Amino acid sequence: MHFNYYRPESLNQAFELMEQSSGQSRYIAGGTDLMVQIKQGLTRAENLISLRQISELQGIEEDDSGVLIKGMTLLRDIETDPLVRDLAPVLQQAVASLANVQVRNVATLGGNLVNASPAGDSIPALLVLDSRLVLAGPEGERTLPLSDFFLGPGQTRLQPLEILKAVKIPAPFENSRAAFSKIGRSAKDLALVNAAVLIRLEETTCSFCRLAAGAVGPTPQRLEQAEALITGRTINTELLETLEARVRQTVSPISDLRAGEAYRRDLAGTLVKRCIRQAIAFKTED
Amino acid sequence: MRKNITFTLNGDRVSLEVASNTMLLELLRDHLSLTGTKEGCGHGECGACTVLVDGRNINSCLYPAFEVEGKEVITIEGLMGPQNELHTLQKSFAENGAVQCGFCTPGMILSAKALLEDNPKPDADAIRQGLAGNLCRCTGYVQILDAVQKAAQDFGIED
Repeated sequence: MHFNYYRPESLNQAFELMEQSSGQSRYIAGGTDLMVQIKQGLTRAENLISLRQISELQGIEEDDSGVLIKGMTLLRDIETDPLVRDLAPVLQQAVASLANVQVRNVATLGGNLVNASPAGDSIPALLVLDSRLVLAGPEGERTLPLSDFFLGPGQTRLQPLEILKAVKIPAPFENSRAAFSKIGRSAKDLALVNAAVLIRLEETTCSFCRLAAGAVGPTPQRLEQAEALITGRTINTELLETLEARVRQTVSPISDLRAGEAYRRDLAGTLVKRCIRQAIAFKTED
Repeated sequence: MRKNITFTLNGDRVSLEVASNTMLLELLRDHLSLTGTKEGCGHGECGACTVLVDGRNINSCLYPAFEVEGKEVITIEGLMGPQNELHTLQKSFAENGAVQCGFCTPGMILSAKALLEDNPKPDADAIRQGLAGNLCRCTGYVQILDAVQKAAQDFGIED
């Protein structure tokens, strides 16, 4: 395990280092996944360019449309931030479920996204919040919806020099409630399946919803067919059971050493249903 | 690639040259002879290598030594008082039988310290959450949870 380790202090310095370095180079955020891969010999890198010293990548701010979380913000800081608690509590719920304090004290939101694990816990929560990503490169910045970011396991639309600068989360609209749920082998394990829901109820009718799940396909995904099934309808036990069956049919998980495909399908249905119950708990009798 | 780094270690300023692929764990154990910090899994799962960096508990096995530049690091050796008296948490672990083989203990105590600094009166669930990143293969955790709970009653009195 030999690598050079650089600590640039600005985005421009980071782009330059990446451009000028010879051999295999990687940006590194908290490194709770990448460093493990390097130690295990699963990933090779001759140069690691750490993003931890770049102040442009730090912080949580309120902006005109909601909240802006910079890419290198620690998961632990998101978990305890009062602005995030007010504007995106479902993200806090998701982040707090990830690994343990030691990991969350080092791992970053940008790292969790760029890592592009199908099981990344922040992702379903950010998908139902309709988040957008700000990507920075030497030529400037561009914004794209999170739902367009992932191409497959470990693969994203980031260009070779680009860095995830920030995540923009729109303020919640009135009467919307959201929830996140996950099942791992043990409480703090990688998700076998995770799911998130955002729903707006008028009386008992769902007037709008977004549903998302992870570890049930090559990338975390919105469940659009399931969304269409419940939008405009009265939420009751019968509808939730139909929804559960629909989710089971529409996801496409794989079998791996953590769980089988059939079990993941069942879990996906159960977790989406569980999230809806959790989100609207105060409004339904069942 | 080598570089000189300077940081605070258990209250003292330390300056030394390290290689770019050195992890903080290796720096502490092999370069500075502070062997209280243990290597368990080496992959950030077990918490045996837990130390505090700027007050936060982190896994030193995955933390590049270059990243401690200018920061404050506390290891288990840094918890004793000026006359070598044990820290409240250390005493509580001893008194409550929370130590068997002892390999996880330094990490457990440092995670407990970070927890109590944040939340001086944690309930049982908060203690479990706070220690979720520290595995113990001997005790079954019951005495460890007791030790932290009891230390919380005295915590802050001497610190």
